[in-house]
Amino acid sequence: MTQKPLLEGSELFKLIPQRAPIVMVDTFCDANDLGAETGLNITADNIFCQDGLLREPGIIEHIAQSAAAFAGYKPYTQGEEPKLGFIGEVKKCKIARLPRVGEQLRTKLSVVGEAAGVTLIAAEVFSADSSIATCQMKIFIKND
Amino acid sequence: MLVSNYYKIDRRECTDNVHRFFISLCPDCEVYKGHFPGTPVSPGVCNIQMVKECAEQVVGKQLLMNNLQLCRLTTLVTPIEHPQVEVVLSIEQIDDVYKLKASIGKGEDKYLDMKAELVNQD
Repeated sequence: MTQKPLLEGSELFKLIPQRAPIVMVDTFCDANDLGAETGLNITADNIFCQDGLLREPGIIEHIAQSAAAFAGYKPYTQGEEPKLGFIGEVKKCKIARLPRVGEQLRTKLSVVGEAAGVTLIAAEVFSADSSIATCQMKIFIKND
Repeated sequence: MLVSNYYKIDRRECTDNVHRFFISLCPDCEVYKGHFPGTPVSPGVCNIQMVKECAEQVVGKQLLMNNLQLCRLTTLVTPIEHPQVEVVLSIEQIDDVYKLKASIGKGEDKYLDMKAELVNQD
């Protein structure tokens, strides 16, 4: 991380509605209108870990919740509760390798488009200097 | 099964290389404690994983889904409203790559469809 996180640990609950055992982001930083950076420390008790590796759904959920956190950040700064966000589409999700327990994921998220409650994001997940995964995603935010 | 007690396969059938798994989603899976508190919604990634595990049963090997080309999630699936679902899939092997096409639905209704490439897990 280049900067001190804006939010970390359970503070993220102000941005996302997910709770244990399926919380897949633990840091949120560098937010601006175009994107943000998030992180996840992979622990052995992660529900998506098997044989010491974070499996595919953990990586994809980490990206989805990174997008949810980004979507929740603006309402949060305006004093609102996080809204439920759902993955509508996952596209071109390439996983270079499965990261190990103890690795620290950091993810660069950028907004590619936004319209009518749908946010189109692109993400790249890194660990140290190596790329773990790239992905595009459509996230629907439920307004009610 | 990666997420324990997420689903169970009631039966499966295969015609013309199309594999159909009849599945029950388990509402008491611990994932619903957090997704979302008081509002159980089947996580899209868990459904993708369920499809992958069905594919592993078909090929009889542990696989890595290293390229999820496209996955559309068109209906919110919940274990309460959708206690029974069907995973329908076909796999074509080209060299070391398994090309998977799959959907989750019930009868005529489709909740998710996806296209992915998988390889043998080292």
